[in-house]
Amino acid sequence: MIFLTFAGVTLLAAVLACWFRSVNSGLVGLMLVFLGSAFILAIVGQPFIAAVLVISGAATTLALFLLSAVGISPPHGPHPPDRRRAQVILGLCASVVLGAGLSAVALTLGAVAPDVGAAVESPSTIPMIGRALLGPHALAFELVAVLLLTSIVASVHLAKGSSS
Amino acid sequence: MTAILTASTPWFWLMVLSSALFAVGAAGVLLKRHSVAALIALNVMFVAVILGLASVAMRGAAMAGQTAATSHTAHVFMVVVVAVAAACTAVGLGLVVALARTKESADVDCVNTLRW
Repeated sequence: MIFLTFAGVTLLAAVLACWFRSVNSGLVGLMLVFLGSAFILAIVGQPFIAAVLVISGAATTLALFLLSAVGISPPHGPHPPDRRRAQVILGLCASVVLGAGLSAVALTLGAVAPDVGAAVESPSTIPMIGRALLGPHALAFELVAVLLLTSIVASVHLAKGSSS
Repeated sequence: MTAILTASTPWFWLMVLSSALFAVGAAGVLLKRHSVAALIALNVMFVAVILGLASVAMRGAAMAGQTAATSHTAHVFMVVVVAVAAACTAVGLGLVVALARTKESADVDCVNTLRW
């Protein structure tokens, strides 16, 4: 019941985050999405991922709030009505097809899997994740480090512009 | 089907929630004109991916009868996806700033140089 409540809140927040025209309201919705997802992950017994998600979400939301505070002018001027309508119809159809396909995959997996119930949580997952990250998955860990460094350099270069 | 829906399987509902979140985020990315709003929708999609990986981890662990041995790969995937989401957001922020500087607007439809 708690799980379904948080799932509903998260889904509602996601819809609001994508629905609001104001960027600041959308960011509040995104914060609720991160928070609800972290609660859900904590409920199903994955507190480490929940903590990582909260930290990452806080940094993301802070950066987006700062960007919206800079005062970038929103899109002005309407689209031609027929083009806008076609864009909305195509976007909604694509998202509905995507959601239906993913739900079908979920139903298929649910039909294949035995009724095993919830996983039994091990007493301490975090040290095992750390060992896995620095052991058999060390290459992925290093690649993520390189990716983060590259993204920092790229974002600074993009934001700095080519004035020189 | 009824047995599936009434069974106590949180990973199933987690996967359904992940699908719905991904569809909502995709709709936002496809429909929003404001580039920051598109970034917000993209982050919703990343959260959906993380929840889907959590669901896969729980399913694999439940089918194996325990958690630790089978679900570590999915946990590592989740950490990697969180890092990729952060990197993607950072580059997206740089692109938004560059877009606002060159086009003086945050409209993603202004970027149509490569359209054919």
